[in-house]
Amino acid sequence: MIRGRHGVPPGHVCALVEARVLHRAQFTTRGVPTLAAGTETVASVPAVELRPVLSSQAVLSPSHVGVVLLFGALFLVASYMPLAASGVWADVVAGRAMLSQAALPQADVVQPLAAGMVYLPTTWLAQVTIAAVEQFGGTEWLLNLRALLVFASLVLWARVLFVLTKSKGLMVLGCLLIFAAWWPRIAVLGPEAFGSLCLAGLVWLLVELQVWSPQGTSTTLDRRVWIGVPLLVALWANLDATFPLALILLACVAVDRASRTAAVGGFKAVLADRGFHGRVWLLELSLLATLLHPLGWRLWSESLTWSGNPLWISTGGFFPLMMWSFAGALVAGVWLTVALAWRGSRLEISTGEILLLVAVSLAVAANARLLGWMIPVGVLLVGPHLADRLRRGRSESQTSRKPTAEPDREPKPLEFIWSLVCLLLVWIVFALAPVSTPVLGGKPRSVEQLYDGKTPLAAAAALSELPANALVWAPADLGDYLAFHGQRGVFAGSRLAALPDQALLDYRRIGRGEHTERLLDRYRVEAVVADPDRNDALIQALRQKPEAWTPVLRDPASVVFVRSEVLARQEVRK
Amino acid sequence: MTRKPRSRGSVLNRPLGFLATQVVALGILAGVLIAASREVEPHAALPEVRTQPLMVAPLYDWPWVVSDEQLERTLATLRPRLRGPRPKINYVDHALRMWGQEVTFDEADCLSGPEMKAVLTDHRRFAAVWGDEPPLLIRKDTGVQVRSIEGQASASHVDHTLATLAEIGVPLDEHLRLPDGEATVRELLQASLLDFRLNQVEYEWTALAAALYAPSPRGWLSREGQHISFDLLADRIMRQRYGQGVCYGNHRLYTLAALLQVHDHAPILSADSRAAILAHLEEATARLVSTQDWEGWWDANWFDGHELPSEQTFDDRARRILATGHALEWWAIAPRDVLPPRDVIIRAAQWLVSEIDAHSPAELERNYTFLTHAGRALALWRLRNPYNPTVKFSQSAS
Repeated sequence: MIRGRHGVPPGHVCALVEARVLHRAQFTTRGVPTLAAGTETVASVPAVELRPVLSSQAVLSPSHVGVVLLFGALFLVASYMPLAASGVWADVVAGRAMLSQAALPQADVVQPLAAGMVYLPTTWLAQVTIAAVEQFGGTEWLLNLRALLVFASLVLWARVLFVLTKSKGLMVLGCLLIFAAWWPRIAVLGPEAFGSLCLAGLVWLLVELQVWSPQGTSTTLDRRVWIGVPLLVALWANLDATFPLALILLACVAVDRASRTAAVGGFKAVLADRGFHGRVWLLELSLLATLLHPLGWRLWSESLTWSGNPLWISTGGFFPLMMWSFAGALVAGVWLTVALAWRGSRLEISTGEILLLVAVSLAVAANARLLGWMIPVGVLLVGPHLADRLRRGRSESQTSRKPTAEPDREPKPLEFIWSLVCLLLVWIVFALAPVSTPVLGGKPRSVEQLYDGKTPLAAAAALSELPANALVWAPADLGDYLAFHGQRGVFAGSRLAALPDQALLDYRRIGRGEHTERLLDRYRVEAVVADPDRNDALIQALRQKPEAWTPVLRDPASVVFVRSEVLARQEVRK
Repeated sequence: MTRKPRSRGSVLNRPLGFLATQVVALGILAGVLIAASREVEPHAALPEVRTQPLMVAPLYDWPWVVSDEQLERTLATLRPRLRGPRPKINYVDHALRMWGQEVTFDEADCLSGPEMKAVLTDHRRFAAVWGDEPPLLIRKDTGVQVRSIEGQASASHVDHTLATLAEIGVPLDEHLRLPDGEATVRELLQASLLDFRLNQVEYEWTALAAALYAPSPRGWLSREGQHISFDLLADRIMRQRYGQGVCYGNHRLYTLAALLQVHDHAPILSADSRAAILAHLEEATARLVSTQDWEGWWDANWFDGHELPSEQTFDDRARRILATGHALEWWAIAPRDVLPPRDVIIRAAQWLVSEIDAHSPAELERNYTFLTHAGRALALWRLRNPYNPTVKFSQSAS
């Protein structure tokens, strides 16, 4: 917007500056040509000075364009990634049940065989949110929700890394690593996506408000910390079962402060340190905040159990990390990188940082699905040390160079061209992303774009006429969608760990084609959806019983058998 | 005089104040954790039990089903001629269930009720007849277990012996003698309940024993962490198809009928569950009515009447005795709503009487376990205790 009365020569960006009349007929602001005073042209024009409306912070550079481009690309990738078959559909079913009954469910709504097992809807808020989004916009909006969650988490991590490293390069590198770590599970939408956002949010609060930082922290905690952190932890406790990680992180922050203080002044100094006191109170306040949950105390009391721990089950149960797998290599890589970064760092390495690394490593060792947490924490621990090394290297190289006399240059003008390019990129990304469809219009995505190849769409359609109370056996990762589509119970879904041991054992035996007929009879399974890649023996076993099992579908993703008796009954009804 | 400026920090920020508050906070936290840990298992590991088990009693005295004379003759045929070395444990088990713990016989080759019970509950007596066989009663961390499905010196079904003890009225405080010392029936029940898994192969007798010894709606918590209620047990029993399970699925129907009867004395079922059981038994009856042979018997295909595979474990007579005797047995304890027309029962009972009469001693020996169900069923339809046909069941139960 030009507020001056005079035009600006073309080719100069001056939209975000204002012009003022000067006493002399001369433009003094850089970027606007200074015309020779006294010439005829300007003699009759009052002098103006252009001053920016926006601060210099709004002046972006080509590197910012690169960052925006990268983040835009990541957002588009996350937006266009089809939804994984596993996970989300069980949450939609549970969320729908909560929305329709306006109460927390008392039992697993997907796995009837888990009846009688402890069932705590610890992630109720995420499930209700997911179900509400699904009711609002179907699968299309589930994908949008997932993309927004991933993107928001990534932006928060970017901010954290930038605050800690003051380096755009390290920030980008860290974010790429984090995105890569999320990649195997990026197609999955579930409470874990909310938990991931909460972790990023908590770390951002702690870093931004100087509660935790390897470079030093504030003694007095900001009021925003006292309000923001407990609120976020309360939200996390209602969204995802990984919320104990928030408390572990806060405990590490307190230990971090204590260890740094003790290193200087000993134990007495720690006791007298108001900064330490504040962090301990913050931890305790956050612990209390987790009780702001419909389950209240029960959230913790049930979590004290070893077997059937609802928090553990919500995060996928026992899924040990294999060190010779890709995930194991990644964990080893994180440890190695952290060790190398710490080894050459001038920054102090505190007990809190070590504890955080150990705590997250233990969690990942017990449940490899939490790998998505390991990389961000690793990046968080490595980033500041790496930045310090880089700064050191840079300063050494500068001192080795001969100092050259800086020409007495005038300050650079504020050029907003790159800011506008960034805005344009943001708009382009928004326009390309499916999330803009309600605003800009566009065709809905095809089925192939919405669901990943493993989603048993054809199998679900083939079972649509099966009675709702008929139990279906399918690999657990396919079970959720079958339960969602047919509004029926399945033998096992993604909450497999919630099944009683015997049922879990028998689920696996059936999958391997062992004692097939006897086990399918015992559980009164009426239909089997087998994966040709994983359940070949089962398919062969059922094929050998054509009088009992009729194949109704065979496609590359699944082979569906229905009990002949059930089909006969359906025929009679027709 | 100038006043020393006061520190802005409160008492809580001073070292001692901070320490004191943390001690208090930790104390509260510890207290809450202890209190919470007591609530971890809302369902007690074991239910409330009754020392004297409930009695599942027959409900009908229909002389047209079997006459007194026919009954006495049949029961005389089915006396437990089990004295001697190595009596099959499942025979002893079945005979004890049929004849009860007080019966005595004049015949020297027959085991009395106390003797049969001793074989099952006293290792000295078991060892006397079975020699070096592994003991029938085994001590384990959850209590005492009866060795099952490991040959003739073991019980034929999981918890069959426990259910037998419950049905014949053995109290929980009755002593058991194991190779390594004494125990009580209570420990037998305890191990059975704690080790129970809802999806195990045989569950009918555990459910029956639990209903008779522990008729509590609260249920119990299994080792798998599953809260086992009688509703859940009923669902489990009804889950499988009619013909599936031991004895062509008839024990499942018997246990369901028993649950209904126990529920009348001590409510253990929800209204929905009770209604579902009644509907399930009604359908079973409808199937039985539609598949009964004109002579009065049923076969292994009682639930659908489809042709049987050519290869069968038992001969025709054995299968039919088994299917027919068991059906009459569960009907005898079932509510009137689920009973078939009277002639169905009469034809079945009369066929049983004539078939038992026609059994040779060898066949009697071979089919003895099935026959005990048939003989017991006939006695139940006259409200009689097999060990004393002249005594009404209700009198002895009281």
